[in-house]
Amino acid sequence: MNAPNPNQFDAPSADRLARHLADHPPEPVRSVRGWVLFAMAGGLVLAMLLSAVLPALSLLLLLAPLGLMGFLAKRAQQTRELHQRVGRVWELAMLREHREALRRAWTLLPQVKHHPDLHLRCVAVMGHTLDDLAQYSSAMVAFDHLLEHLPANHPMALQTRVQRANAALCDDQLADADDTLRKLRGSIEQLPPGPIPASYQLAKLVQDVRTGHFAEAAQHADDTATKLQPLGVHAGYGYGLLAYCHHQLALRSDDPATAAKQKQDAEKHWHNATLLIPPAALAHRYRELAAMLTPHNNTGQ
Amino acid sequence: MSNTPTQPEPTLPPFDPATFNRQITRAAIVHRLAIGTTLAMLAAILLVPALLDTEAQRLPTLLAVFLVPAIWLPITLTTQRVARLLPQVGATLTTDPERAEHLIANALNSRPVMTWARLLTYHRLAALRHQQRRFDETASICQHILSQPLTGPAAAAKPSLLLILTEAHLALGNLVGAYHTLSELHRTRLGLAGAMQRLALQTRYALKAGAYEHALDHGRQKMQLAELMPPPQCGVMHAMLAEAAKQTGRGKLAAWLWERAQLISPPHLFDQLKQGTFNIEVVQHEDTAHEPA
Repeated sequence: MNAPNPNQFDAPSADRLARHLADHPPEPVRSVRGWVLFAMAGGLVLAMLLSAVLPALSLLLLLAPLGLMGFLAKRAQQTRELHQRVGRVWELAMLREHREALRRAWTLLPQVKHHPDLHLRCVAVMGHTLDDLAQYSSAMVAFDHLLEHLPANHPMALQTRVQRANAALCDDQLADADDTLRKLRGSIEQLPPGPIPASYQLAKLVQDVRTGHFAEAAQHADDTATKLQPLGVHAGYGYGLLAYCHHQLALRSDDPATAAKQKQDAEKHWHNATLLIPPAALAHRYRELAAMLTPHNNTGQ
Repeated sequence: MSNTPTQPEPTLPPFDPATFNRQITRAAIVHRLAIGTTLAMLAAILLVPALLDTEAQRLPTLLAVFLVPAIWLPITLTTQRVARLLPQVGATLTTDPERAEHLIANALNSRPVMTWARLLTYHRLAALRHQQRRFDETASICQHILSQPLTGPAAAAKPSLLLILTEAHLALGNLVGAYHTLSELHRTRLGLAGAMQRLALQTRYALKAGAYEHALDHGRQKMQLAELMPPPQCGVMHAMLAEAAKQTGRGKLAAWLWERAQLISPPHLFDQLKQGTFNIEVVQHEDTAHEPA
């Protein structure tokens, strides 16, 4: 039997991730500031009292604050290093070094439990990378953890809800996703155009595709395409899904003229999609899009 | 006296190099005096009992007990207060510049303060002026900060200062200045966000200098890095590379890049880009930098 490769980090299952998060929850920040001031004041009083009788001992007490300052400086340096390491994990996630980012975030989690903000960032990296690795149920565990620990009005909370809904759709948990998207609608409509409404729009599009509502999606395709723009290159996924909707309508249409128009629209959106994202990556993310890799064979026109 | 939201926020006067130099010199003198006094007191405590055999030998210890905390406490407490204000400045820089200016004014009025805290306060002022597109003042502040030795916590601000200064030089049409700061940026260790911003600035510099071939060097790597940028900056990068491709006779590549730029850029930005306006700020400040979507 082959021994597991210690250098390879496999994406954790949902249960394993849930256990890891439960074993290393964020803990309240322990402030030492009060104790430091108390110790300094106490040391000063003692030094004053002892200076009258034992000058040598009072010298030691004078040196104690310096030691304390050294200790605090060391603590601050450790915190800075942790910030840098978590920052590097974010960078790896951005560079799509998913497994390495995930491995580091997993290892860092126990070390950052006294730094709630860093803890949340590590869990956010886990959610993001697991989602990109198509480990949707594990990603949902990370997103649930974030939602449980983020303040309700935190800017990341809404984005995380949308990401969770998207992961649920990709994991075929359609009822769960439908419920989340329905609840989010009011909050999203109040936002100005930006990445969060665009992510919501993408999730709605995935929902339409997964539930077979191709006509509804195709009807508002141009408006949807405009709303997807703040996603930048990632809007390509949305264009791919719009192309798929038109493609399906072309396949199902009995009228040759309508089918030709749908085919034309499918080609237009697919062109935009592949302009931004390679076709293989589109099909990897959304399995339906594999059908678009050979559109001329499938439309039957 | 506390400020209510209805009161007008105090604004800072334009940057004055003489005031800056005076404040930095004062901070350095106070810091050195504090260290010198502490060392002198420790030496006196150790040496005086050995030299004198009278009641006076207790004098240095008694003096030290009062003097050392009396010197260090105000410096430490004020510096801490300023250090706590700095993240607040970063957080309000884009959302509430008036509040950011008010916080900076408060920080600059605090003394005695350690040199690094004073320098970091001026760094935030440079970021604010950059945000307000007051590029002359931005460049002047950055140049004065960079002329100082950046040590301790202030050392971390160097990449950001160089990025801001490069963008200010480019906005002012100072290509020589931009060349020097870009060279310095290449010798400086940057994070991913910094590397992306440097790439955008370098490409804009290449276009302004007519070095179109240079702008297209390592095109694939540049595209990969550009795709990680927020959409507006990503769109600007695409448009700049498209312009370079057009100027070097690579029509097909230029068309492909323009098509991508159109899909990525917000419509109002794309209109500007089509008119050949690439003077769109790409430098983002630390607290507003984007993270993975």
